Amino acid sequence: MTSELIVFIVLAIISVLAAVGLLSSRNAVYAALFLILNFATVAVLYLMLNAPFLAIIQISVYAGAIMVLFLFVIMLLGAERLNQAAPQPGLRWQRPLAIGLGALLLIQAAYVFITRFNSTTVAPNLIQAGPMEIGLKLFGPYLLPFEVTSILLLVAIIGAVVLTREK
Amino acid sequence: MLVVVLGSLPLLAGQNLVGFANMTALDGYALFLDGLFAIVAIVIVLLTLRYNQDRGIMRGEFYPLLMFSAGGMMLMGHAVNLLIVFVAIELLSIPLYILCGLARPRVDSEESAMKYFLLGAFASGFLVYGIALIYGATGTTQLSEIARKISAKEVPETLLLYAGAALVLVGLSFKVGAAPFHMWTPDVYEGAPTTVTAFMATATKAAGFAALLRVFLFGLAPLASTWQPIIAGLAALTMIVGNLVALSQTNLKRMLAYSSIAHAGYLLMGVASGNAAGTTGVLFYLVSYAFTTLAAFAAMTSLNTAAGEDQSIEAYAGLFRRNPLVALVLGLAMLSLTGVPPTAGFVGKYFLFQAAIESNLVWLAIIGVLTSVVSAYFYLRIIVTMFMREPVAEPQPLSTANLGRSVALAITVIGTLVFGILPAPLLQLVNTAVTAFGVTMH
Amino acid sequence: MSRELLGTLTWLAPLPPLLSFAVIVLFTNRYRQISSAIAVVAMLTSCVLSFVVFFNAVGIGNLGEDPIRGIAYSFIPTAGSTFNIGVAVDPLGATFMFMVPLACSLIFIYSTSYMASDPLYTRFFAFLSLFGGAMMGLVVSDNLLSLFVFWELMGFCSYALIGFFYRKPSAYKAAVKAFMTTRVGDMLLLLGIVYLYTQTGTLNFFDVLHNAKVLETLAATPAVLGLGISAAGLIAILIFGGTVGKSAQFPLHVWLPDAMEGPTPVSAMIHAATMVSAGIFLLLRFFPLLQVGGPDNTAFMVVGLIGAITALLGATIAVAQYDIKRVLAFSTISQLGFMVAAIGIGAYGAAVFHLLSHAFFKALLFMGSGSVIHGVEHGHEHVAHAHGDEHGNAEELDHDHGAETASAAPAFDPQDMRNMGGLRKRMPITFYTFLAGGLALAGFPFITAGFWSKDEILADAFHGLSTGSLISTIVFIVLAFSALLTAFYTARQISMTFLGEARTEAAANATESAPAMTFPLIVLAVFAIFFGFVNVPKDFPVLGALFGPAAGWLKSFISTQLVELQAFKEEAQVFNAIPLLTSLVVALGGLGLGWLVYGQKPLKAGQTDPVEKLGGLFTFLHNRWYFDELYRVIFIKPLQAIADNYSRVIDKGVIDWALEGLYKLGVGIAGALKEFDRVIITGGSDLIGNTVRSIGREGRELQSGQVQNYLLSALIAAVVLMVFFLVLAQ
Repeated sequence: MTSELIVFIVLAIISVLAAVGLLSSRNAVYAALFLILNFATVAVLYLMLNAPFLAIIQISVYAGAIMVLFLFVIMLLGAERLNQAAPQPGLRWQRPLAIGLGALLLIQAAYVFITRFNSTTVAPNLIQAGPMEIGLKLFGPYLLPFEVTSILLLVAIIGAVVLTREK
Repeated sequence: MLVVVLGSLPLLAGQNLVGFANMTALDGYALFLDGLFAIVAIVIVLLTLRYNQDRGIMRGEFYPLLMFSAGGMMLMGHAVNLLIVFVAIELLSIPLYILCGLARPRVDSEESAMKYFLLGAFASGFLVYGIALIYGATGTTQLSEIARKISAKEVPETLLLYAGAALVLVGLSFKVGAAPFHMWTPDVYEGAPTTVTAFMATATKAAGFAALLRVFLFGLAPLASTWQPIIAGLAALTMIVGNLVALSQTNLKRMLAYSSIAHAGYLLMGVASGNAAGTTGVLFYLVSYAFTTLAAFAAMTSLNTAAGEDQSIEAYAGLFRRNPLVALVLGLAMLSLTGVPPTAGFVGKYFLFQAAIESNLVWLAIIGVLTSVVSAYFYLRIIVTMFMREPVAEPQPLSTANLGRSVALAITVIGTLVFGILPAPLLQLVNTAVTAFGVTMH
Repeated sequence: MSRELLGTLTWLAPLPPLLSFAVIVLFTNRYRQISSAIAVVAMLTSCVLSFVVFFNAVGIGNLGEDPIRGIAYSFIPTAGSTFNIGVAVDPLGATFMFMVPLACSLIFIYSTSYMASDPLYTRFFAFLSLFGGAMMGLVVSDNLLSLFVFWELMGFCSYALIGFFYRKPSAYKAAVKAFMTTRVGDMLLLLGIVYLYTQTGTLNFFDVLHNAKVLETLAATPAVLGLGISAAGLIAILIFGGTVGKSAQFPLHVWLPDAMEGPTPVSAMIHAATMVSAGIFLLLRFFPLLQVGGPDNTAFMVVGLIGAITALLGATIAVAQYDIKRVLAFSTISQLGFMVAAIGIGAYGAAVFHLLSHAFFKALLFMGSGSVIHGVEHGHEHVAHAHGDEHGNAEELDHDHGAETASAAPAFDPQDMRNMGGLRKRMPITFYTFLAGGLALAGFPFITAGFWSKDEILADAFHGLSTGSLISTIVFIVLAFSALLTAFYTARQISMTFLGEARTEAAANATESAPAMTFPLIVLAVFAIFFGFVNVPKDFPVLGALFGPAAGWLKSFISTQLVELQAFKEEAQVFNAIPLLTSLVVALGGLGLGWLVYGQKPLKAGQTDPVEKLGGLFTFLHNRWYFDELYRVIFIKPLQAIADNYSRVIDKGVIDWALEGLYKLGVGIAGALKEFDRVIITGGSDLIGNTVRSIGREGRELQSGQVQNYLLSALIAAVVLMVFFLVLAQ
């Protein structure tokens, strides 16, 4: 238990720092790299939650394929350095407000969780979330949402093509 | 392009039997909504044929995207599982984001698409988070199962459940354009191609309410004492904001956008009633509102000129002299939106007010009545402008008549009038739908 | 004739005008003569059908308990009950089936000549037909729902017809005002309907109002919201709200005078046959609901007080008007107040009687004034041609419209009584018929309908007074004073218009109107004189005996309508000389006073009106107690301010509506201070508008930032919503 806790705390800190780094970095390549780090830590968290399939997918699809695509685009466009544009004058007041609201939402969520989950007796999920189980679920009871999602992706592709095609 | 359309019609008409027993329901309620979505989509297609030609939006993608979206809406009507609700909402929204941007070289169209996309994504975030919390509390996404567990007091984490319900409500409120989550509506409606706007104003709203009814009156029905005052409050706010702001609009499309917000308020009043009468009222109103609004937008598209569309209310001055038929249609639509008998709008409003009073929401009914008095002012202003003013500038030649549009106009006008004068047959259908709904409920 | 047949005829009665509307709009709107012929024939057909029903109905003894019913059809099948839409004729409906189509037919005939030179002649007849058909439909409806449908239809027609001269800005403003103001009342009515339905489960009049059990239950149920009155009382008050709007009672009376912007036949329709009668009709229909609470109950008090206030308000304002039609408009408001006050004291029969006689003489007066305006207008043209100047203007007039046009207004106002005088010789038929109507309005004793009906109200009020009813006392005093004023302003109007010497050349050259216009006047004049004899009280000295069994016919016919008339045994009432003397004194006194001031020494050209000597009081009355200005400050401006400010914060359309708002404000002020220098205001608003627009242009640059604003406010709302949920869940 304790070793797991230590691992969790370390990973959580890294994960949050990576997220902050992503937001504050002015260099797009750095930002992308921070994002990969963040993905990787989250993947390990999945592993700890007995979800090996999800962890591998996280690494291979997000940290792997998509991020490589991102980096390609960034470098092809030569957009490594983001503009140092100051926020528009009309929007400056929003930043503290956004932070405040975010904090409020966090407190609300924390309130809900802490008042209800103060004991640590939540049983570890014993269901093996392996590829086979997920496959069986996806193509069993969840076939309809799965298929609809695939249509959704098709629509997204059409959209991307339509909206970027030159006249 | 025509082939695509022709192919789509039987596709729509034949949309009949789908069954994934545990996640979707095939009941009168779902079929009723299917019918509504199909009719709306057909009218939109009929209108679009000419509209796109006029506006130079020559894109075959328009029709499949419309069909995908309509499919998503139908799925929404069938959904009895939160997961399906979510997937359906995405399926109906994403094509719409694209459709909004189809008049692409125009800046406002792009702006419209972008705004709709950002806010839609934001709303989806709320919705999915809410669904996750409800799942966390109850261990299921099946609505019937959720209702059963709550009634049987098998849900230990009620707080989690309430938080989830709140977030789902926020997400769906975005979709139906209820205040205070309505801000995207005017901008998006104004920028999108008019036929797409018509589709959003009618079908999307109907789909949103389909989901609201299923989730709250069915899945979360045992929590009614909690959500009823909140939804009633939203309804009141929405009616007030929608009608008051519509007062000061000078752009017809924006005015109709605020009017659609106001009507979402009336519909929410039906949801807040939480009884069978409310459900009847909502379903009836959805139909009457759909026909009326389609009539208004159909009339608008008839006024396209080659140079573009002038949406300012001023541009409608003296329309009665230039094009009496279109002016009459638009006038009829305005009267129906105001709720003047014998139009469909009146009968619909009557049911909603009745439902609210039945569930002791008298104050809400009074707000509804007062705001509809206010609304008469801006709807009438359109009529005054059309019938009693001289045209401001030399009018441009109007887009010539066309078969598809004439048929669409005829369908909507007949719907608006017939359901106002002889609501009985439609009401019979609605009652069947509501009964089916009740059967699934218990 | 069998009852079934009569029921079918009742169904058919409203249809011809409605069909004529459809036919004119769809097919014949290019052919002027055919259209007007269709409209007139349709109305006459309706009139004949109604008369058949009426005269048969009169012969049915127990019509009150067992009205003629037509076949009903199911409108909205709801879970528990069924809405059946049908027609029915009871004594109240029967009397209306006599008056409404008769008055409408005469107005239609009159219009064929009056509107002859109008370019939108066919449209006028289309709307007029719809108007008449809707009123007929309202009269024969046997339930509130279809009544409400026709009610709203009439609202729409009045809107379309008041704004008929839509090129005149004041006309369409008046139209919107009329529609909006009456709609406030309509909404109260709708609430009343819904409340009635939730309480009783039916909207059929006879199931509710002629059913003592239902009435008693309603009276015993306390109303919602803890108002301390019974459900019956609240429903009655809400429904009365509809009457207040439609029948122009205080505080919603402001639309009626402005409705004069419509063509004169429309005024006659609105004032006599349709709109305002509909409001009173509705209240009469719901009389049992008022009555069930007993004498002097809250609902009666409200109705009686509003009626009394309106009667006084209208009469005082009418004294200080110059426009011949406006005098009549305020007179209508006042007379409607009489009827409402009569209902408020429980004098059901008297209210019906006064409504019918008023419909005849007021239609007569309006059409007479139309004839006068027409005549003066022609005289003016004649003069203009003779002088050889203003040729273009006169030509345009002729082409545009005979009587009222925008272009005619500033130079010469043919409706201003100061521009008339001496018309007695120029327009004799108009004069004598107008005189008959005027005397009826003033209540000239014994020989006019107005005297009998007004006397009836005063007698009933006095009867209530003698039994110690508070509201009756108030009503008696106020109405007696108002009747005095009525006689006075009638004498003033007749003297200023017809007597003495012509004060302008136009009046000197006025010509009598065409027979199509004078014929209806003569018919109505006959009614204005003789209609009163249908209801001479039985125990009236001499005359009562003279009429024998026919005396008091209307009242006894009407009264079979009411079940359980415990509270007001009108039959038990005995003749009393005091109210009779009061009516004699106020009628003759008012007329005499008017004669002294105006008749004896008719005004000369340029002489000021003696009532202006009242100074501040005159200004106050002339400006109609400043009600319009008051409403503008209290309701319209704040609403606009709210709407505008909301948009300023969140909405994109800032520039456009601000401009419009300023412009509207400017126009509003200009409208209020009619004579105020327009140049300054338009100039000023342009300047401000331009400034706002340039600020707005820069504001648009920030447009891209707005999505963030939207998201942020949505986020705040979501947080608040969540807090609500969690709080409520505890």
